[in-house]
Amino acid sequence: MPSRHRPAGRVEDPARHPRRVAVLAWTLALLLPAGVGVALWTASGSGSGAAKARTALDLVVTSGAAVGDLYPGASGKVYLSVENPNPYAVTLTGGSVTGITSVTGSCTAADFTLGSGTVPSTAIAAGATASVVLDAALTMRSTAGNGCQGATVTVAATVTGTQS
Amino acid sequence: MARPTARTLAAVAAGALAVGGAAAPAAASWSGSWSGPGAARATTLPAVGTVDAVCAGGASVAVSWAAAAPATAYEVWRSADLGPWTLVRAADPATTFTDTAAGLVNVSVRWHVVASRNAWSAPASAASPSRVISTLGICL
Repeated sequence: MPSRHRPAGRVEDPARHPRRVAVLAWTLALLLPAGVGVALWTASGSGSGAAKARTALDLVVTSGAAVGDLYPGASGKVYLSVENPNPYAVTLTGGSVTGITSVTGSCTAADFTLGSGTVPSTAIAAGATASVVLDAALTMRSTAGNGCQGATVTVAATVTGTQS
Repeated sequence: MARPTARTLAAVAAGALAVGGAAAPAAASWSGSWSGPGAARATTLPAVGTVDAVCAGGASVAVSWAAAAPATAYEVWRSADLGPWTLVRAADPATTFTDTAAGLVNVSVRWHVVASRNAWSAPASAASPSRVISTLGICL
């Protein structure tokens, strides 16, 4: 469409509007198929552009549905649910239990010892939530009494991972 | 519709180049560690299932049952005529016990088993079928 301030048919001087020319050049470069010869004015322009890296969002770790597998002298699993709110997949590479937060019944934290814990490599898709099991992460002492039967243990757990 | 600016076009062009993979960036991944609560749960020690009591010659009665994991030991208790239960074998890993039922004549004798593991103990099993030792010392 002709400019309101410019007579129709008048040729625009590219030197006066280097940014418009740059815009036109980019537009044509993007829209035209390769191999089509186009005669263009050449010009150069400079300016500032901006790009911003996305901030990685923290994975959300919550308690999973635990299965009763601890008994005196035995190591058990710790169950987690891990949500990945990022727009890219994350692979969990490790995990550990760092403490016991609470124990139900007459059982106490002193009835348990923390294990090293292992996590199988687990890929969590973008925006997905995965059930994660820390194997051998907790051991019930052989001296644990009857009050520990059926007890639920809440622990503080940490998982590590990397962008897939 | 707003006219595209040089900035937006530059951004689009840069994006097209990146999509086209003209210049693969160095492989660098974000990584981190995240914390939160986890849950573990202890099991419960189950009661022993069926307890059998079979005459084993003379006044002897063979009492047996199936193992009940994760129990590692079993106590055997006996009762005559539904009286009080008496411990006749302390905790032991064996799942059989032969009771001579000494001194118990013409009474209905039953047995039950209590499973244990360390300081844990399970509820008592149901009572076995009853046996009677005749005055002649024969299990019936």
